[in-house]
Amino acid sequence: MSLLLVEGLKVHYPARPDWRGRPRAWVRAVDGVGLEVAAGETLGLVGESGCGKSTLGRAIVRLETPTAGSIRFNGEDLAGLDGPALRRARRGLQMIFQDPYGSLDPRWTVGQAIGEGIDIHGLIQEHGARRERIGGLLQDVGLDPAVADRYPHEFSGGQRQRIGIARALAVEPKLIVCDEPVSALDVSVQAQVVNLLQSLQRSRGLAYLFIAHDLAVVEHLSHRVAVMYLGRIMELGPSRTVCGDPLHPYTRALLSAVPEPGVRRRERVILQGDVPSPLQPPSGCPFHPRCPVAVARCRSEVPEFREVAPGRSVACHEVKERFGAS
Amino acid sequence: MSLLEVDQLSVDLVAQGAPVRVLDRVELAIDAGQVHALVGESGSGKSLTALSVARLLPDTLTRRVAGTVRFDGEDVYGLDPAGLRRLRGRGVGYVFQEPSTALNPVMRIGTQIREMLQLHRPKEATDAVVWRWLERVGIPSPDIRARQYPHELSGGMQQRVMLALALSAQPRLLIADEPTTALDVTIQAQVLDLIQSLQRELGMAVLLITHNFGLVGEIADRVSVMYAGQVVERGPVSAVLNAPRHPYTAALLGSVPRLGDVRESLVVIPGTVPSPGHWPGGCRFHPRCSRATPGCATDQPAWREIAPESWVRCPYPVEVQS
Repeated sequence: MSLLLVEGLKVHYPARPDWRGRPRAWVRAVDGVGLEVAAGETLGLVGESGCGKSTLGRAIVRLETPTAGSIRFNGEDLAGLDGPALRRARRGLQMIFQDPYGSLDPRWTVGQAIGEGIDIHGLIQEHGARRERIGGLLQDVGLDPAVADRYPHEFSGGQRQRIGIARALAVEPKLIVCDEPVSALDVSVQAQVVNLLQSLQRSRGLAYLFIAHDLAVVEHLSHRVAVMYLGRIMELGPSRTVCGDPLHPYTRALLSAVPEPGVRRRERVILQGDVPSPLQPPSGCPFHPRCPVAVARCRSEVPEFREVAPGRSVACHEVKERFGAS
Repeated sequence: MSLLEVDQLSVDLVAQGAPVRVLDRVELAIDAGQVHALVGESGSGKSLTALSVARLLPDTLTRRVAGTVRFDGEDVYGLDPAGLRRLRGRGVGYVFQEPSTALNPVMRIGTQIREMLQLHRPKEATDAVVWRWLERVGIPSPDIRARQYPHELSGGMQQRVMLALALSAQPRLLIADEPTTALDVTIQAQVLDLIQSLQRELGMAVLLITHNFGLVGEIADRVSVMYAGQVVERGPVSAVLNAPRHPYTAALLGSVPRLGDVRESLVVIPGTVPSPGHWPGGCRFHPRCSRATPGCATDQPAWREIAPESWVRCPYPVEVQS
């Protein structure tokens, strides 16, 4: 059984209120997403800015309220929960944020930040044991236990991200949603955090939903990868095959746009135009205005997200037909 | 002779209290028509180097301590105000990282380009020329766009306007400071392609500042790597990327995951980048270097040519594997 099973998830925001404050339009940030994460697995989630990947991550830990759909975690649907029931269910589900500067309270010591989750869930009552636990967590993320009494401003970006990881680990979660955890870090520090996440996964059997826009990092860390565009998942499959042999035209364009050291003047699929606004998504397939292989049908009909090979799903009319012919 | 020559440039930041060294004996040479990449992590001094080339560092905050910057044989720090205006514009064009803050928010984009033309190419200051530049950087319906304000454009479009602005004066050197960092990969590919094709068409030199080695391989001819206020390695792009000689360059390249990479874990450089004012003695990289010897902690490594065109600031460079 999967640890996390998301089905038909939608997050819509009201926009452009009229004079009475009633919305005249809806931003469809997440528009019908289904995915699952198994225990101990990393699912990578990639896409350009504004595609809804962060909103999806936040909705899964219920920092956003879903408009429709279900989020089954450990067999329990989080979408309908609130109050103490939600808090209990959420213990197994933690989050690491992108901005290591903005996600720690500057007036709280590192120990207070890590200990908050322990107290909320009443995991350790005794003071000495609690302190020992915080020290152990700091050690696990490669920091000195003595830093528990220091404040966030005393640390570098990489160290703060380690503190954020220790805080997430404090309640012994099974799944951590990582929202761009390394994109604000310098290259040499990024590698340290990536390796730390991998070794924690091995030692604790953690599952990750790893959200990033850097495809190379996602491929490196993930077992499977989902590609998102305008609130929908376009392609999902094992990371090596998706990155090595992409099926969806958007995945192909995205991969070919990634510049790589040593590779010069490759054949590139340069997409025309910008990502359309989720306020007025195009009809039919949301990618059709920029798609190099779009046909008339793409304009009117939303492609179904379906399995085209074992473990590989794609939302594209054209891929389906090519697959059927071969 | 190179178009741009930076020789032993040292700059201090004199904001409050004791001056802090931010650039230390920086070496740079760019030939006409060449694309030169300047790579480094944040705080290594790459933007400060570029700003000092155009003499854009404020005199109240910084002081050039030693060294020279020569553009086309002329000493940039010896220019009078009229000479400086000539340098910035027809000599050096500048594209900044964040187009939304670099463009004037209360001026139509056409007016901004026209102002540039009036200053540097007065004979060409017409609407038709403005539209042609907008068209050249790939902005559709330029006559309508020229009347819009920056906030009406997307990030990719704003960066194109920045590019049109810098190019309209037809500079001999374009400095692009992280021009695509704020953009998504698909838009980044568009802007990069554009810089490359315009560079060839106009035959200008480009100084591309980036922290992304991928971009370097795609468009640069030569590359300089900066660490803690110094250039630690310079060479032809294929040599530096395939056979880096400085231990820092080698480690940095190993720490970047690449597509199709099958490694289990990434190379890690221990510690963090030291900030200005906290640079260690001897070689700046020695506390993080796997090849450091006791001598590295005390002796400043010399800047030396170890192979034709290949310069490195390390007494024990990485051997080239044949």
